[in-house]
Order: sequence, then structure tokens, then C-alpha cells
Amino acid sequence: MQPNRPTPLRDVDPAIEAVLCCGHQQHRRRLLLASLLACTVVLLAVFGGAFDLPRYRDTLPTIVQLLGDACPPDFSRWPRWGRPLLDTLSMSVVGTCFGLIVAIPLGALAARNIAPSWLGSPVRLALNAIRSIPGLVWGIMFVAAVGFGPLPGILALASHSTGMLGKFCAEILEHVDAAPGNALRAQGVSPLGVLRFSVLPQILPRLVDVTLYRWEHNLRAATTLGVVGAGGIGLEIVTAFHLFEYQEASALILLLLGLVSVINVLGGRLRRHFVDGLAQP
Amino acid sequence: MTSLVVGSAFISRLCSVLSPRRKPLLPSRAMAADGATVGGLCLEHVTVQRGQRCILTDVSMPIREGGVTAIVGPSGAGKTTLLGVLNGLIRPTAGQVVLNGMGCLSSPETLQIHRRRTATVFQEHALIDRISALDNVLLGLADRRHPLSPLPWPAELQEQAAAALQEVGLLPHAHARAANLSGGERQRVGIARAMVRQPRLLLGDEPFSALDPGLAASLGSLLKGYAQASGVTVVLVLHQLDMARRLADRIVGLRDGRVCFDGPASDFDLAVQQHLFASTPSLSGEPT
Repeated sequence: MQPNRPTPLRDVDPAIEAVLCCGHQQHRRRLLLASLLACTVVLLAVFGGAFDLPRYRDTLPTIVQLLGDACPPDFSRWPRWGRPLLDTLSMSVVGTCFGLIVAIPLGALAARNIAPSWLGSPVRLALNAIRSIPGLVWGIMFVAAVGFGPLPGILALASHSTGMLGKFCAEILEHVDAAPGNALRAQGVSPLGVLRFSVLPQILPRLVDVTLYRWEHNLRAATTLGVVGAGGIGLEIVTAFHLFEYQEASALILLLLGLVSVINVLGGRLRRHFVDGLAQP
Repeated sequence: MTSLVVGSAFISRLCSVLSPRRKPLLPSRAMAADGATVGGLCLEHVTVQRGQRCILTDVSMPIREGGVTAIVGPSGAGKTTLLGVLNGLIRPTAGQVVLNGMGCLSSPETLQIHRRRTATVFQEHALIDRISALDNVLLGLADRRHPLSPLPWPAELQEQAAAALQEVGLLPHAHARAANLSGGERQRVGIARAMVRQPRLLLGDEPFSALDPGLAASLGSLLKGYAQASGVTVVLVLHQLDMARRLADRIVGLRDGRVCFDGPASDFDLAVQQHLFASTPSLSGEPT
């Protein structure tokens, strides 16, 4: 004999039935959206030739050949690499700092909870425009404007970083908890005091986090800027490739890898200090 | 066992706080910073509207100097909004709040004077999670430090903040991140931040909601003791009616944004409570 099973609530209460029905519709809509997204990616991949299989025929042998030619790495010319390495480092550090200095006020003006829309909209548009121009294009422009060397690299990285950090800064400011600021306002603290004692302690760890991320990104970007004449270790790598000095190129790439790793470790420590440690009001 | 020890230590600490030998944290009238007479507040025909909805409608009531006033009423009655009007965070759509002897709160100067004399304990604590409990209490003294000063908090202010934390039994957690404290501990940090200001008007938006009954009763007694000893005016939004009757000298009952009871706590009897909370929406969404 079958035990009596309780009647499902949906059969009893039309309100529950309506809620469940709405949930099913939402699920179907999400599934449809995911399928459309997947189809779009596949179509774009076909358009870009990602499924053009004959073109993959010589890929592996060529890579193996290049790797063979690049081994062992040739460090014999290391005394000449100090200056380019310092150029790359200075480009990344100064470019990030300059970018941050411009990005903070622009980000504050772009934040929807701070500036009125008539001011915020054009600033957001300007940040989008700055961000959408690739670093290499900024590099070409500044090489033409101020000549070769690390300076156009610094300006190019600062420009692109302004766009990125400005957007991050605006988003961070938009997510600030308003309650502590209201508590300060309720006790007569000035707007500057609210900014200093409530907003700054809340945004500082995240701002440090995104700035460190941007610095790591800029270190790699500074290398590619060497291609357009902005100097640094990138120029040395490109020159080595052009002269078919693959062993020297691999040594330079290993050096860059070491530098990036050191920066990553340093950045990780700073990040832990600011994000996980106690902030100071 | 550990929590029992900590709890008993806290209660004994509270007893020592409430003993008459101890110097009170909050100022006596004679210790008032600006030497002016405090005066009370008076709400005159205050209406607060959000969109089409009236949160408060034609509320008129004096907040007399000294004593504890409890504001009670069902959820959505406008209690928190009334508190926001009292601390100047919400500007009335109509009517005005008059600071006796100083003028209307719509004047920026009067509002600033009023705010410097006022401290608020917020319902959602309004703490900064990333900083320590001590630093959160120090924010109660933020108006005594220049915002652009690169120096650390002055030692005198740090001492005051530590003393306030000690009053609420949280000194051992002074350097703990606010995010790592329990709901009750966060609430006590909020209370300490308000008390460290040595206010003339102390506003509390359900300050005991996150505390267990024993601790709520102890902190309630602490606040009442201070109000009696120093003449500080205390206005509390409370949900616990028994606590309202025990702590307050006066109870204001709000319902649908209107004052429907205003009198001594002794008059807040069962009939008044039933009238105040009648037809409160039930869980099924239908009026009871």
C-alpha cells in the first residue's frame, strides 16, 4: 500500500503557483541568453579564423624550432641591460603615479553618488575615450610629440592608466557605505572631514589594490611600448628578435619575468598590508 | 565558561560604572563646553513626505531638557524618520524644528550648533568595518580634529575613546577590526562612539536591538543613570515596550506618521498599547 503523499502546495495555493511559474520563466530566459551568448562567441571565432584547421599545421614545429633556437639563454651582454631595465621600471612607476593623480579627481567627478549627472556624464565619456585608445597608440602619439626615450612611455602609460583608474575610482566611490558619513554629518563634521574620516578609510584599501594591479599591468605594457620607440627593456627584446639573436631575446624575457615576479610578490605584500590589515582613519 | 566569565566581568564593570564614586563620562550641566543653557527642542507641525507617501504628518511635540523619552510604534510608523529630523539629517517637508533659545534648525548656524551637541546611535551601527573599534569610537570626536592633520589622533582624545570603550565593556577588543565584532559588540561600539562625544542630546535608533536581554537591560540602565546624573536629554526609538516603560520618563507613540500617544510612561498602559498596535499587518499580508 502506497503512503499518502501530501498534495503539493502549488496545487493548493494559486499565489505559490504564480511565484514558481515566474521563477521558471526567469530560468528559461537566462538559458536563452546564455545560448545566444555562446552562439555569438562561436560565430565570432569562425569569423576570426579560429577554426581554420590547415593553418595550425605548422604551428607546433615552428614554436619548437623557435624555443630550440632560444636555448640556452645568452646573458653575456647583461652589463648593457641595467639602464633599459631601469627605464622600464621608471616608466611603470611614474606612469602609474601620474595616472593615479589625475584619475582620483576625475573618478570623483564621474561617481554617480557624488557629482551631478550634467558633470558626471561628460567626465565618464572622457574617461571612456581615454581608456579606449590603446597604450601603443598613446605611445606613438607621444613619441611623435616629445621624441624617443622613456618620457613618451611615461606619458602613454599615465594616459591609459588615467582612463582605467578613473573608472575604478568612480566605481569604488559609488560603493562606499554612506552610513558612517551620515553619522559624521549628524555630529557636525564638515564635508572635508567626512571625506577624510569616512570615505578615505573605506576607499584606500581598494584604491591601493587596483593601483598595484595597474602597476603590474603597466610594467608589462612598458615592455611593449619599446616597440614604438619608448625605450626600456622592450626595445632591447625587439632589437634582439630583429637581429635573430633569439638566445639573447630569451635571456631578456627571463629577466623581465624575474622583474614581474618580484613586483608581484612586492605588490602582494602591500596588498595584504592595506586590504587585510587595519586601515587608519 | 569563558563567556560566563566575560559576562560577569562586564556586569561588574557596569556596576562600578553606575556607582556614584565614579566620575561620569558624560558632562554635568556645569561642564557644558560652550557654557550656554542647553534648552530643549520643539517640533512644530513637522511633516515629512517622500514621493506621494507621508512618513510624518503634522507632528508637534516638545523635547524637554533632561530625562529619557522613548518613541514607540509599529514598524513603518515613522520613528526612525522622526529621529532623523531630530538630528538634522532629514529636513521636514513642512513645519520646523526649533532649538529653544537658538532658533530654527533650518538655519545652518543653528543646525551646526545643534549637531555639535548631539550624538546618535544608529540602528545599523554606521561603523567603518575596516578600522578598529577604538578608531570607530574616535570618529565620534572627528569634529575636534582638523581633517587635513597628518598627525595621529591626540593622546587626550585616544584616552577618551578608550574610556568610552571601557564603559561599554569592549576595551579588550579595542584593536579588533569592527568587521570581526559580533552584532552586539558592534552596537556597543556605536553606543561608545555616541557617548564619547559627551552630548547634550543623545539620540538612539533601537540601540539595544542587537543585544541579548541582559546586556540590553544593563546598557539601558547605564544610559538612564547618565541621563539622571548629568541632565543629558535622551531620546530612544524602542521596539521593546517593557524596556520603554522601564527606562523612559515619557513615551511618545507614533502610528502612521502621527503622534497618537504622548505622556508619562506610567500612563502607557495595556489599553494604549493595544490601540497603538491595533491592525498591525500580519505575516500573511492581511490586517489583523
